[in-house]
Amino acid sequence: MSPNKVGLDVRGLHIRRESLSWCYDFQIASGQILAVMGESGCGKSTLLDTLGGFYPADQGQIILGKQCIQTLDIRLRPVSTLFQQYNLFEHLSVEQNLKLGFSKASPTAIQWQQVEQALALLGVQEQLKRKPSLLSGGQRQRIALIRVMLREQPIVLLDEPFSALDAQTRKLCGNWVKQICQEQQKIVLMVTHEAMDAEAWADQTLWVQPLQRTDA
Amino acid sequence: MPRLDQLLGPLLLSFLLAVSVVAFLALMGWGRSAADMSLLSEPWFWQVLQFSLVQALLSSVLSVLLAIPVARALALDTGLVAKAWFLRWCLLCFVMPSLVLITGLVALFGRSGYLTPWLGEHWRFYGLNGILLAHVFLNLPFAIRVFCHRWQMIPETAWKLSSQLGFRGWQAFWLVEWPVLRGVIPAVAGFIFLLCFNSFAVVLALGGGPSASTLEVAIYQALKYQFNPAEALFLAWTQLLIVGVLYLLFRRLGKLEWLSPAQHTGWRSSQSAAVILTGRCAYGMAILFLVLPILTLVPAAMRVNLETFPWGELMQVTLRSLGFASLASLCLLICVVGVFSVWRQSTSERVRGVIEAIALHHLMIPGMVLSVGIYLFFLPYLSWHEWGWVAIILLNTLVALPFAFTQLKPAVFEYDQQYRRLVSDLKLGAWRHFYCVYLSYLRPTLQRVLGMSFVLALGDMAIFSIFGRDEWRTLPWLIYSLAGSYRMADAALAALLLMGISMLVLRVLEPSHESK
Repeated sequence: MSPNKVGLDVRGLHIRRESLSWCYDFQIASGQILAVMGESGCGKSTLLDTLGGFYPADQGQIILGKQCIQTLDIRLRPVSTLFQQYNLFEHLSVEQNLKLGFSKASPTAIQWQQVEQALALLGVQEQLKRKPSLLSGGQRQRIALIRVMLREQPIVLLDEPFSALDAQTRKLCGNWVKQICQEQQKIVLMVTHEAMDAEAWADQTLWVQPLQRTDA
Repeated sequence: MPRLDQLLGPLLLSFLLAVSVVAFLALMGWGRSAADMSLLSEPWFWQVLQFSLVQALLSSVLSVLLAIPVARALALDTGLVAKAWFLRWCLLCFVMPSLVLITGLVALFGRSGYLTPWLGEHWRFYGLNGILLAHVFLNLPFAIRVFCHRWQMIPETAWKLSSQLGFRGWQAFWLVEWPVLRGVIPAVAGFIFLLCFNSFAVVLALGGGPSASTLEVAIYQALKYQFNPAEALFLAWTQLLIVGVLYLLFRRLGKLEWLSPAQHTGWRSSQSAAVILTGRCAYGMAILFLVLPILTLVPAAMRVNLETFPWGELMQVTLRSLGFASLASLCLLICVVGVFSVWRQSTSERVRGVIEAIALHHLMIPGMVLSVGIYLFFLPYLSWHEWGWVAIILLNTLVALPFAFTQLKPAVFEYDQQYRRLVSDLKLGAWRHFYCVYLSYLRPTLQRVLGMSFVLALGDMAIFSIFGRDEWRTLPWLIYSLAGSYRMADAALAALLLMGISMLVLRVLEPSHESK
């Protein structure tokens, strides 16, 4: 990591869940993507949960730039997450869902322009007025991805962001994520099962493996 | 949730509890009067108690038995017409202001009713017959909806399997249908029993004398006709003990699903022609029974003398009723959203259980008992003549709270399950989240709760009977007094108005398909 770039520094982060435990040490520079890989159930989502503040760490530090963020309340953490499911409020329109990502649910003209460009690029511009329940799984995933990427948060956590997409759309979305990440100098952690995803877009890959099985 | 809520929630819960505590203190004789135990040796008390139990038992058995064939036809016969309409009508019947129904039944079966000449010389409408007719009318639709829902829950594969295994007639019924019904029949019967045991308006209007009176009516008469608080207290205790014990007993019997819309049904095994015909006959008779008393109001109201009809009073009384019902249902909405705001803040199952118990405990305390307690407790300190309206609104709110809570709970629970993490991640401000996301998610359920509680409060007789006064009537009481002075045409016209308002409110507040 070049020293002049504000990045994410995870130092000696100990996490324990049931009988498994992990210890993480890694850095990501702004404008870079870290692919998080590993077997199913190995703790990838738990790492994202800890970074997002949904799951506590036993010890260690999460530092963004010069600020230690692991003690911050969820609502104050500079993090935006794409969960595996329930990313959209089913009772609100796609447009309302997208707007909720911005301060006071009202994006500036420039921000909204970016949203519209992304909708067009990813092929979901027709869905703006519809409810999520009328959309396909892939369309929902793209809408949620747009909101997560364009929010004003420096750290972006993507939990299997392309799982519902076909190969071509997957490529389109991956390229777009990479582009936004670089343009807006975001720090992106992307959980994926596909080695191709990591090769195509990630600057680094993190293999997740539990330390040991303790009989708690 | 807004920060103000964090303070308001616990205050609200304390208030809900305080009302019951005050009522209990009054029942314990904390004020001036104590319960009159000598009533235990009065034969009329035992007569009233016996009648209360017998009419409730008969009403619930009849409602359940009659509902079964109708519900089965509704769920399994694809050829039935107007199903959706009928199920919606059932919903309305269940919350229908009793006085609308009573007026219709009197016009059909009363002394000079349309059907009375065909019922033979020995027909007596007032007393048990009339009470049973009214109670079955009010509760049959509820039972139909619950059973129909159960029948629709039988999975398509169970039907296919039973056909492939060659099950026929009774065999299919016992092996496929009875298991889903069995669990819910005692709960439905128990619930209807409680409703009829607590019935006030129907028994007041159609009963008479100790041989056809219930505890609720006896409490009202003791307090308002004889002003005998000791007797009212004793009767209230009896009522409370019986209802409380029965409620705790029936609560174990299971949860009832009846408000959800009709489901799409898949493949069903074919029925014999005789079974289909029987089902259709039952359906036809149910429609006749549930529609005729209301339809009769139209020709009955046509005979009204427009010049002597009390238009001015009707207008005034209607506005007052609308005011009460609007305020009570709005208070209910605030109350239930407030209770859930505290409920959501807590992650401890135990605390949640306590909050739930506070919200639901009014189910065990009949509205009449609560009213008598509050009335007697504050009697020495304030003039109910002046402040009765406050109690009417508040108590109507409280008695509807358990219903509202149980309706909203699944929605709130599901919301938190699905969106708790997303809401945190989006970092929406408390108020923005509450207003733009949370309330709009709950809106269809809130609308339905608002509509039903409005209609229930609009038709309230029991609470008003304690706190209201004659020169300050509500619409149901106007209808009651018109019918009581043999002005049936006038009563029918007023009843039609009450019915019209109820239908309109339910229709307007019915959640649209889009927002489901």
